[in-house]
Amino acid sequence: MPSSEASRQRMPAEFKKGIWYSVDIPSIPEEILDVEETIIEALSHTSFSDTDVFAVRLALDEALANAMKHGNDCDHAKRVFIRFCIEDDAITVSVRDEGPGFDCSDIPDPTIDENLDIPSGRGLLLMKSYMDSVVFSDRGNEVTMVKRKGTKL
Amino acid sequence: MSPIKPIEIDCKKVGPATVMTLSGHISTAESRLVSENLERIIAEKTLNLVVDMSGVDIITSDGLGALIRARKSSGEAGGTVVLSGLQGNILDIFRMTRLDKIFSLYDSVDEAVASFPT
Repeated sequence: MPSSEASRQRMPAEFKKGIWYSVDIPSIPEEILDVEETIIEALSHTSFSDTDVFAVRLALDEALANAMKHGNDCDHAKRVFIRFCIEDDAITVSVRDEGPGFDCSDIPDPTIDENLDIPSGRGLLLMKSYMDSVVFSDRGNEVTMVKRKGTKL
Repeated sequence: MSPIKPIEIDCKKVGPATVMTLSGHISTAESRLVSENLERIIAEKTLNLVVDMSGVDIITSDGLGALIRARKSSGEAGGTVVLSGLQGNILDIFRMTRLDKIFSLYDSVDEAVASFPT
């Protein structure tokens, strides 16, 4: 059985507010879509707007991609651990990898003129721009993001 | 927001330009496919390339990276990549990342095609 299938089986058919749900996936980019679908499906039963859902989807994709590429070094044997909790006015999502962690202050500002034509380095900017809170653990291998209902960029 | 739509890529010649139409979700998993198609069409000596994004629902940093690499590859081959049809959330992303400063953006495919000499 593929690992992602096993993970999905741990997801309930119906999500309850205020409950933390967990899922973990191997470091394979195609697995990101399944996690996105799960969380977007959970949000579809709430009053989060399309704009809110767009923000969560984008930030989640970036966080998972960062965990796979920079945290787990694209090692398919290493897993990414996701937890999320939906409440009336906010969703909290945390993404943890098996890497040594990183210092996000090391990332150059991708919006300054001399960096605009560099193809990478925008994931954290997008996460911080679209979520209300983005906090890394001390080790730097887990990010916890909060999106409140109705907040704007 | 709608369920995840698979990326669709379509290419056609319009006047002096080649128009690549992207639609659906350009998330991390699909960005490699987008990049491969862009690089392939540029390697086929396409100098005037319009990437129409009017049907794109979401684009992640890897998708942006694919467009930036295509712009560089095209420029090195003497070509130009312009974008059309950015709106709503997608246009917001380009403004927030300031990529609107390095890409020429056009409201429509027709306007983008007309930017190239016939």
